[in-house]
Amino acid sequence: MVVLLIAVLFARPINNARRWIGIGGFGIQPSELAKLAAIIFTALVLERRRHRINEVGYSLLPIGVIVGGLVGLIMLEPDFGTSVSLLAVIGAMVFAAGFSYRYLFGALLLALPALYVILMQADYRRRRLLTFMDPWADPLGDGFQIIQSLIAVGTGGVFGKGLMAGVQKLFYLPEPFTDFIFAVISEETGLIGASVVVLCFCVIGWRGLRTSMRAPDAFGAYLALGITLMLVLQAFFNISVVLGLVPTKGIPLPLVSNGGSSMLMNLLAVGVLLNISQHQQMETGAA
Amino acid sequence: MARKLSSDKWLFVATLVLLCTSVVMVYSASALVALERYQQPYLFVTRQLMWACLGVAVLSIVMRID
Repeated sequence: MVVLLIAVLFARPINNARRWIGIGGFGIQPSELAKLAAIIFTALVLERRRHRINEVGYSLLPIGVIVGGLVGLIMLEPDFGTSVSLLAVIGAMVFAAGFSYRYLFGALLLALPALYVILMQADYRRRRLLTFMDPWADPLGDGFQIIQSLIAVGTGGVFGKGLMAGVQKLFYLPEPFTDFIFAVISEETGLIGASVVVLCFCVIGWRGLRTSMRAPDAFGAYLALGITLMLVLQAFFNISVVLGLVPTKGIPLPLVSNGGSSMLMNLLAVGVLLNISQHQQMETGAA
Repeated sequence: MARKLSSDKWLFVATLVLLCTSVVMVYSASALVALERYQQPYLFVTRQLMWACLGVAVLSIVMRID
């Protein structure tokens, strides 16, 4: 239960700091640590208790309490996008462990009204949702970010304008080197550069799922699945935000966006994934 | 450490490609903002590079422990 301790340890600063805590001039994002801790914890519980997976009190209660607590804290920051993506990853892990889809579907239905209340109660979330429906309704106000982002992606063309030659990053785009870095990549390296990035995430998804399926034990399989989904889902959401396919959310592009703790935790996660993949090679070699 | 462990090459290469993209693009995207706000064009990219190196170090350690 070391993981549980770690989770509690990391959960505390979330309340005090909003999203970041400063340590020696560097911003640390506790939710990045919490995400990985939640995935490791879920994989552990699922391995131990998967033989009675459909007894909700036995298998899901610990996961629900810990993950629910973490998500609640992340929600308080507030960081809606991270909460939702973490819940999606955990849901997929539980489903992969053989949990009946009826329960998951029911839980989803129950969550919908809550989701609606959360969305509508915070003013900025409601505005973002309306902006998403029609960015051009208010091109200089709420729609500004997404329109600037689309301009960046569009003007890049196939080959891009060349490195350092982009214009949109010069104070048009919000957060050009964190959340909207994909827009800058599209503008400066064009369709080709953007495709390379997307392709890299596809490769991570493919090899990650392969690792998960060939993992020597259940813990490794669930852990690999969770980590892969965490990386790929976030990339998917981030790129969708940049392209205006989903409402604006503050999700960075994993491994690419500027940000110390997220970079560090994502690389750590890839390390774990690589570690699991080694054992699979060995297993097949021995067999 | 006599046994030879082979980890997933594809995964490793894809991660490294993203990392390199990251450093280049963060520099390209942040240089002028950093110059404007902090008078140091290399501020964000040096930090990013530091974290990337630290991250790769952590990655290689995590890869080797069981």
